[in-house]
Amino acid sequence: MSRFEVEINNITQDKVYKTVLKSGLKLFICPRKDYTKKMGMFGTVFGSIDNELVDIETKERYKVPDGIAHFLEHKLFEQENANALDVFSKMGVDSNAYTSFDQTVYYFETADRYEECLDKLIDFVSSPYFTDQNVEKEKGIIAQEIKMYEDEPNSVVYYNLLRSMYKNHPINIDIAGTVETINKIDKDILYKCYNSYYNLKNMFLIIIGDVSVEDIVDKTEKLIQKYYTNRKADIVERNIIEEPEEIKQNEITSNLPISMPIECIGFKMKPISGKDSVKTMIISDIINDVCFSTSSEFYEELYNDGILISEPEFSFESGRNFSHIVISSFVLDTSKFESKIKSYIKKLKEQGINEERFKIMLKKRQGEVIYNSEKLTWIYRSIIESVIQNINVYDEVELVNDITKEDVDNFIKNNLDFDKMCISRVLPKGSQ
Amino acid sequence: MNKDILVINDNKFKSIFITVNYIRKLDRKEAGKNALLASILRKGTKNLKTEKELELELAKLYSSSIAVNVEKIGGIYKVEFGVEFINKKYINEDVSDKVINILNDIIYNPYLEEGVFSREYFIREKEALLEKINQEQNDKRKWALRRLEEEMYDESDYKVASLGDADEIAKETEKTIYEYYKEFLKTSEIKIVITGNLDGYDDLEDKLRIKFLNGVSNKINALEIKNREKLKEIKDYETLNQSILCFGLNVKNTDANMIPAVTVYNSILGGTPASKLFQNVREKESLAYFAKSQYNKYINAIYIYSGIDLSKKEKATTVIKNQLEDLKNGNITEEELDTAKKNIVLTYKALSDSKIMYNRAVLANKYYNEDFDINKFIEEIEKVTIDDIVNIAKDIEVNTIYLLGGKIDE
Repeated sequence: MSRFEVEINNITQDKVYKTVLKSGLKLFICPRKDYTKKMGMFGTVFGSIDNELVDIETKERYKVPDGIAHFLEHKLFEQENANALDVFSKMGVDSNAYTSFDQTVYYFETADRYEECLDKLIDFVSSPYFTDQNVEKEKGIIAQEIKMYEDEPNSVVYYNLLRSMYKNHPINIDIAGTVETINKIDKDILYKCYNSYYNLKNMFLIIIGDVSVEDIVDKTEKLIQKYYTNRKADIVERNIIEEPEEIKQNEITSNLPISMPIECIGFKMKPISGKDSVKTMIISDIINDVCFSTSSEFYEELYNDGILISEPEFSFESGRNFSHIVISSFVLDTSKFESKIKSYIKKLKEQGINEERFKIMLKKRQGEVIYNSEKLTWIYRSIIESVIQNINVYDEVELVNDITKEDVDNFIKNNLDFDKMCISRVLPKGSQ
Repeated sequence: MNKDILVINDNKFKSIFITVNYIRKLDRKEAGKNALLASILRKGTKNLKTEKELELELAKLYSSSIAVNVEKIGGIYKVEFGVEFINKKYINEDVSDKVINILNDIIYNPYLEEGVFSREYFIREKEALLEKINQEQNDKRKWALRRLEEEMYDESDYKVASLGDADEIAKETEKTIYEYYKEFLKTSEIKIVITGNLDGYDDLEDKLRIKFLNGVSNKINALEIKNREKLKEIKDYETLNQSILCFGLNVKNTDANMIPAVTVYNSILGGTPASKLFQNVREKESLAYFAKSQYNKYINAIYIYSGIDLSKKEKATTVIKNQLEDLKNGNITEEELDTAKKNIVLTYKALSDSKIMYNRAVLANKYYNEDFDINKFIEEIEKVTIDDIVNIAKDIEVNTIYLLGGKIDE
């Protein structure tokens, strides 16, 4: 078989083999010699922002309760009298699943039983088993999960920020939904979502570890035939998201029983996608290193003034119809921090970043690419990102050498717009 | 651990991770001094006077990194000076000497003013450390476990947090901490662990030996840890959406030969999604999203933790206690035993996929047991029987029950 496309990381020579199977499933294989763990990920491009269902059969559109993708994630790992976490556990295999804004992924990690694991993984994800009873039971568990996040300041400050930045975009809803919305979920709506979004043309399978490429393709083809006969597969139609350029509100503050304030400052941007988003990601990493990390004058000053005790993080996030910057940090004095950030960004817009620092941090990024390639979790994240953004897995490695100081300066000038800035704070209870 | 340097070469990696570990006997009053010292040393050296200069120099070396971490491991306290850098094969430049020289300066050539640590640095680091101790309350799960530990070991120095005791830290000055630094260099036990791709680095071990061991061969004695005899129940009220219920279990039989059996016991109790806690507290009773247990072999204790609704506290307590009883009564299936073993084996085998985790695991395990070997340990795990579990279960007792929580609208 030679119908693979091979992508090569030109620094480390690591390879990713990719192909689309007859069924429409995208398959990625990343051989890693001498690693003990073999990982398998089976996922669908379906997440919390897909809050409107376009039925695969009828093409009918309707709203679905917030948190449905996450609820489905919990339920799909269950069959009659069997729970996937439990089944994998009994095989001595680690497994889990997660839901984000735009994807749901089920995975396993094993040392020596990956063929069986692959079979089980595809078996579980391909066989929904929802009953009134097991759907009810899950509500109690998910309610506790939601409450857990409500007590986590990192989570509260971040979702509050998204809620203030976006008026309509469903990124402003919590991934798990709320206790109220999950109570509206029943087995019928779960089946409908399942049938539409868990079709093979909307799905991907990733295998990473010390494995043989040819072998996996044959086995996967067979498993797909076994579990996916007579299933409809079609390109998913999505909700139409109309989001204005303006932010919804400038600031939001919550109080929790914590000891140190935490803050996120967001800048809403025009949506960027594809290779441009990869480039923007590198640019934002460089801005983080040059302007906000422990090697920056800004951090040094704020640390010495007792405003910060750890470095802030400057990051770019993007997905379907959204892009923004988030600066997040533990902060001792929120009002001083905010005014310092504003004057600093103003200065950066006028003067640009330091040329010498830019060169140093570009070298740092080249090093980071090598460290990242050692981490299996980083590899699968880049593969999933390549599916969602429709880019190559190693675009980052290619693009890292093309970034110029002008790119960075222009980015700061054009995107860190104070009219699109939102501030989200979580303060200790009793403070204002 | 008699060997001063452990070397684990693995070509699948592209970089190298070295830890130079300064080991002390755990002491409540000393913990904060170590944490404070660690952060002052990381702030600047004679040649690179500020954190900013240090970071820039490391960034130039293709994102090499140096971190100073502190941790208590059973009855010892470890200050870990860790460096990570990329193998020359991938960057056409050998950065190892430069990085190791910086590490050398961090340990031996700190930035000084008038013969002691800079007063300005000292004051800021002290404040920052006190703030970091305070910040630990932000993460409720970790905080609940921390409070459990504090209560469970209220009669032992083990109760101290890794970052130290705030009251003790408050007493320090730049002079006292500098005096302590000299003592620290003289009296600590030093262990070096190297993990990663050592292709083309034949002389690395010798270089490290000359720089960091230099004839030092101190041996320290680990603190003997005792916990309270009497059962204690503690509640801390906080207005949370979710309460966190913790159990501290004491393993009374402290014979090191029992470690494999207790490891399997813990896995059956709450180590995996197939475990008794996960299956009963979460799946059957729908009381929680997480219900787990973790075994710390260095202190002979198991901690159980679960996030629940306050109104379900009694119910959850009963369900948890029933699982402990089941283990005592031998209500364990062959399948549960087999599952536990397989999961432990995976965890230990997979350690070698991360040079950082492997480095730390090797140090801790070897420190307490010279002969520790992962494959040997796996063999011992395979030998554990249900009878062994029932036997050890008799020696496992609830020592402390802790609850963090309340309700928002209470």
